[in-house]
Amino acid sequence: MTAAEPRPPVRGSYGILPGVVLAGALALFATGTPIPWYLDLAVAVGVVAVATGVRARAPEPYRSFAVAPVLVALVLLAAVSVADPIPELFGAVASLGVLLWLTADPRESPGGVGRAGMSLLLVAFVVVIAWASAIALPSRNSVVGLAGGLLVLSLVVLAVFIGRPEFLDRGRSANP
Amino acid sequence: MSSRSAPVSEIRWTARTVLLLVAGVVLILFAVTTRNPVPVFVGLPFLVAPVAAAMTGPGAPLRASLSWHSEGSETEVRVRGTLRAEPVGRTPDLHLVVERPGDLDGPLEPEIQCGPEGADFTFEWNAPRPTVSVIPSPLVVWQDPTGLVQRVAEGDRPELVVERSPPDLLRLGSVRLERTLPLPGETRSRRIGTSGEFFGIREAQPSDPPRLINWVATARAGRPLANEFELDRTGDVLVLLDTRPTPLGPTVDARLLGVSRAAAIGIADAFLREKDRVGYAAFGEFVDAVPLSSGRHQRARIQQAVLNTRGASVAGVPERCPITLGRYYPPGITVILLSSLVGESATDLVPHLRRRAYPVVVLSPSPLAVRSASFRMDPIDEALAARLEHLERENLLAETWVHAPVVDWDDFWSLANLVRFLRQPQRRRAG
Repeated sequence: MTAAEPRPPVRGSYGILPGVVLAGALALFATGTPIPWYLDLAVAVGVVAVATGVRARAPEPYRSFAVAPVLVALVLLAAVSVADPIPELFGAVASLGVLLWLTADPRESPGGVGRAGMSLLLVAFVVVIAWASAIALPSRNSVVGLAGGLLVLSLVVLAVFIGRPEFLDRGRSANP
Repeated sequence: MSSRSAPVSEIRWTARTVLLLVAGVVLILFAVTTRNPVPVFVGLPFLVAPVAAAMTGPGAPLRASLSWHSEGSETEVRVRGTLRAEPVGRTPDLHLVVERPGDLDGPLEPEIQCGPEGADFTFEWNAPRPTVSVIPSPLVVWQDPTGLVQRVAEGDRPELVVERSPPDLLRLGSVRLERTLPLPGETRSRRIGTSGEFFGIREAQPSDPPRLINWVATARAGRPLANEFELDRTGDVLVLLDTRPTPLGPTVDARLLGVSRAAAIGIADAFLREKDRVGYAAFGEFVDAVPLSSGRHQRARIQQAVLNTRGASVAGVPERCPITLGRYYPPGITVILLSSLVGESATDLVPHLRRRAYPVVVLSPSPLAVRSASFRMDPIDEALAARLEHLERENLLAETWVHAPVVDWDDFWSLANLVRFLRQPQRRRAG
């Protein structure tokens, strides 16, 4: 698609609520940094507004990268954040907010949040396991928590593959 | 019409997935270098999300059915269809990847309305010139709502042919053509077009002229009914397309060929509707011919032949065309030649056809109407250049008129000049 061509039609709403959730989660995460609160809020709202605008208005090759400003902001905030269980949780929530925001694309069919519910729950489950393990273990070793989360994920993957073997079956059956 | 099956539906990752994975890896590296666990928890969802999206998506093979058709008239091309996944709950996440033909303009992404039975989609396109184009089988892709994972759906997806011919061709069929092959025991009707003995009453079609409507029967039945006759074949016609390269270059040649193909199908269709026998030939380096015949099957044969017609890279010698045509078509058959008449070999073709006793009517799509300015001139120079080109074109047509009548076709959405000319048999013979 060239730039001269008209923009593709909007299929759904602009997804205000996921945008607000993402901005709130970013601002919350930013409270765990030395940055002043009003600057946190401005950065969170500004970054989400830019990303939402790019996603809604930009042509196709650039639309996939609309999330980039949010990711850059997350990386920068994570780099200056204080090592503490609460910023860890808020950081994970902000990342989940990014995934939630991705499902509310105005150029996709409405109801994306509901259809992506299962995969979002799965990600949230892994994050909660990892975070809970990290703060509950006596040594408070995050690496052990992360390993716990990955172990849970492996178990879930194994359960899914056992329940739905067609994921592994790439060949065509001779007798369909 | 043909259809193709999609490749085996394997999982594909999108650019957005790569972006998230890169962000996740950068965050993990930050965590390691700064000995801070916070970036790990920020990056963990980005690393897990693609795997979760793939696991909760549809299993292979994903099947999707597609039915579509084209609507609209003249410049307006509206492609409507229905897309349905199995299971139907996956339908809202289906995407249609369509290769739009170069003859059409408009957005590549459709308007989509999802319902309980599937997704209804509409492409609003525009045909700047008459065209006959094939829209290849589209790719149907499932994409998870976060846009991280894609899977190509399987299923038969038919091609779609979009035809846009000038509307004047609806009146072309009533032209009386030169008959070349009277059948044994056949008597020639004195009337033009649909005539002969009364056969019965049928449902009226939008293309039926008012004279054909049986008004009494229509009033009694309360719906439009038309008289049907034992139709009389009025003649034979050959539509000949000149596909040889010209000095205008491949871009202008391709545009002119697209317009000529649309006219060829429209003309053939108009005569076939009136039970005439119609043949089609394309002359590039050699001649590709569809012999004379009538009926729906002949229409399909001609349509397929026209769709397969491409511009030749090498020009055949003009003498070859009438000699080859002699193997397929009897002398005396009316030939409608579609040629831009640009280049010496193009103008040479007409006298060669006349020498082999083929009465020719030339329909010449004007290259002036499709040529785009390659550089900017001031308005006075531009007007002068256009005037000179117009005079050159008129001179070329006048030279060809010595051998055969020529209809200059510069308004591509009207073939009124051709229809008016063909309706005057004495002028045709004079040519």
